[in-house]
Amino acid sequence: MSSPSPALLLALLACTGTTAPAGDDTGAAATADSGDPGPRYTVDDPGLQLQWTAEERSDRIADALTAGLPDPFRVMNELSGLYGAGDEFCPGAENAMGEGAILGCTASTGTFYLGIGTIQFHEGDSPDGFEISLYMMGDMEIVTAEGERAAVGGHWTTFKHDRMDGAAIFEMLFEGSWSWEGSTTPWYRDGMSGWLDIIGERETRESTPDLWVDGVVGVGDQYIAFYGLQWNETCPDLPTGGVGVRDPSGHWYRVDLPEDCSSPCGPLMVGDELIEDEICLPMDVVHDLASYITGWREER
Amino acid sequence: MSATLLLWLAACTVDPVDPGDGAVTDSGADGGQTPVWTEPLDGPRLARRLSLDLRGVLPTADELARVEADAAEIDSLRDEYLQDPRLERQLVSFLAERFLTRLDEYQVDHYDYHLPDELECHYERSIGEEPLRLMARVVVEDRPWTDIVTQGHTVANQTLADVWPLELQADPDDGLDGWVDAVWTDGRPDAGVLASNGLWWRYVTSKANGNRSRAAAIANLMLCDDVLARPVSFADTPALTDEAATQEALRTNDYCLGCHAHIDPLASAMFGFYPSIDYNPDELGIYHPERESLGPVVLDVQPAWFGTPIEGMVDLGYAVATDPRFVRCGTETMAALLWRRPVDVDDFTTVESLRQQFLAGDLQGRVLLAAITDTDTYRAGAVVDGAPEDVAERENTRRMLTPDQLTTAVEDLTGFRWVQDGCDQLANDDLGFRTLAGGVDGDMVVTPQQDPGLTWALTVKRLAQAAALHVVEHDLQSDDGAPFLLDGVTLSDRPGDAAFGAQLEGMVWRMHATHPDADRLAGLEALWQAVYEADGSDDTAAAAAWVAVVSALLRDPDFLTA
Repeated sequence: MSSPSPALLLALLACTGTTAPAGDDTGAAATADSGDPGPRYTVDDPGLQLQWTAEERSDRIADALTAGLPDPFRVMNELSGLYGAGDEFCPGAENAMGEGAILGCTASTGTFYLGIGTIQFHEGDSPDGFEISLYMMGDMEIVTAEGERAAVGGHWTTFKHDRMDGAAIFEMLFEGSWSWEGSTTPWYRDGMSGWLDIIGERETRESTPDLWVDGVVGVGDQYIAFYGLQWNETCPDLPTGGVGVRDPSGHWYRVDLPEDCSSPCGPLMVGDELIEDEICLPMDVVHDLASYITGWREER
Repeated sequence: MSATLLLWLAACTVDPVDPGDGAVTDSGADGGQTPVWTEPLDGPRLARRLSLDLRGVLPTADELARVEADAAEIDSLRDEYLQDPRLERQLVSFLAERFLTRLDEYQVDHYDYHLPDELECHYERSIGEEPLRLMARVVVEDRPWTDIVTQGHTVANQTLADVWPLELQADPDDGLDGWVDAVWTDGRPDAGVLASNGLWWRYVTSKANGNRSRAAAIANLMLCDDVLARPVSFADTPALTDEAATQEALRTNDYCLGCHAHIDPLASAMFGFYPSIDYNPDELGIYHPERESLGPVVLDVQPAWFGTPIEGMVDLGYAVATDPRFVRCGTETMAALLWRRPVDVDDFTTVESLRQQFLAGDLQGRVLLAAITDTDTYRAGAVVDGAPEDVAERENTRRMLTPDQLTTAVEDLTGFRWVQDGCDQLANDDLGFRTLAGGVDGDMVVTPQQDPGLTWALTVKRLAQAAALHVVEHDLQSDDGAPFLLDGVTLSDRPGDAAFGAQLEGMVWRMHATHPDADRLAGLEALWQAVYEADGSDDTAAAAAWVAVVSALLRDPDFLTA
């Protein structure tokens, strides 16, 4: 059989029936014989509709960054008090909620416990110094007789090792949702949620500690992301890395700080869009908060 | 022009096909000239199918008479059904078969929210229906279908408002079944069902999974792209227990990339729903805006919608809505649900025609529903003699009522609703018989039963008996309001009485949309008489006889199918 002629090929290509479903990007279909593109539909592009105005943006971002960081030892103290507000049957254990509370129980004190939770705290001498470890986890809820609610969904690990020669390491990994309506600490009372890693390391008692903060944290309705913030010997005062703060619209502002840690300022971006040429962040406050948690500062 | 070319061109024209053996051709609603191997239902039976599908109840006797007198009335009747408030409930029921969100158990139980046990089924049903009610309301409010993935609110009832961060926008007493518009107060972006708890409580994830299962669910439900159906070879992939190697393979192995190249960037956009632990109300019930930026960290890939970068959940809905596959998938989804069979490649032209009508109707769901109910496939009552075997196998011309249709139709007809401990017995499988009655449980059973089975027969038998007992007691043995069904007889009427015969005829007409012939009537009278005599021939026996007759009519295939 000989090859079909070009005319025949053209004719065959046209032979696709009366209606060709030739959809375009808008979902419309074309009718092959008439060239009519057919019905179309459009969806309004929401675009970038930020809620914070240019005037309030700087203050709001600063507010978010200074709202607080989750401090495990403060939470441990308050949670211990709540676990201790029951009786010998409910929740039935010291610094823990166990069998008695899995399906819910109300202690003779009027405090209600539901779920499981534990606090495991250890501090003491190690062969070369001093150690503190704290592990808290929970999938639980406590409601006091006064109706104030505490809840945990997650875990929190903290470890600190101070050596006699002055070297020290600290690591904290915070995950999940933690809240206590009766707390005297705003960030705990408003509820904290997140996924945050703080690591500190010091070679001698006199040396500048390295500090690394990475992850996300939400306090109340303020949401922050730390993109590998790092202070170290080279950058003792201002970090490298980046910071993100969420606009109420759902878009994220991001500021990447200079790689030479020369300034707490950088361009303010949302995605690929430049919002402001430069915005300066209160990185000293963030440093103080993180340092406080690591215990490099002695105020605790 | 050569003779060969002329022959080819002649073959190109789509002349009406003469398939022979009784098939006719069609160039109407199904689009194109295709052989039609089915014949439509008659007017009353079609009215019955439409009423059950769009309202969940049987047509009234007057409605049946309307279409019997004038077959052209069927379209106006259908249009009236499309405006019926009960349409919303029916859409919820149908969409549940596709979205599979109505589970019997979720990771967070009712007691986690301090709800009493008697509310367990209501709580579970409410969770599963949240995304379904959202979509149904978009349809009944004549808003474009794209709103299901872009709107900034959901719908909720009081129970959901009590346990989730929601603010109801109206008094629940003013909403159908207590459901009204509600806004989330936890900062989640506007993304319709994509931002609904109900959807993601069904499609859960884990730390290792990293929302990938949810991304696959979006591709399946919104684009009809089921990545789990793709052929995959695991020959060159590491053991799944080697997590690090598995994660590496997802980025480098060709077979893995076939899906993960677009699933992982989509999953990366969904980390506001990423829990630290499962089974926890605060972790699962509340959206976590701060975690949105974790996606690229955990999955090592920036958020994107099939190659187009997106910022995250904040613009995911827009990306879905503007994908041309979205409308096609919505069309296919609704067609399959109303045709009561899967859509396949042979339906391409019909679905394309439906899609065009959907688009021309500004993506209003009612326009699509009207178009689907116009198709030969929807209206098919039988396969014609001589139809190819695959056609006979494929076309679902006699459709079993869904458990939800049985529930609402029987309640409307008899006043009976099968409830135990606060649970609709045909709507759950913990205490009830949903899957036994042919339904889906959203988890282990994900396709509705299309043919009768033994457990189905046992279930409908019990339903029929209980409903018959209830309606006879109500209609003939009490003064508790107007009768539901037995409105033309008393316990004193006997076979041969005019009222007795009229009652039987009326019931068959209402329940089956057919006129009983003399043999049928004689059979029903004989059944009545046998039970009456066996039970002692008094009023109690007469009631038992009516229970037997009503039960038999409820178990009749003409009642149990549409």
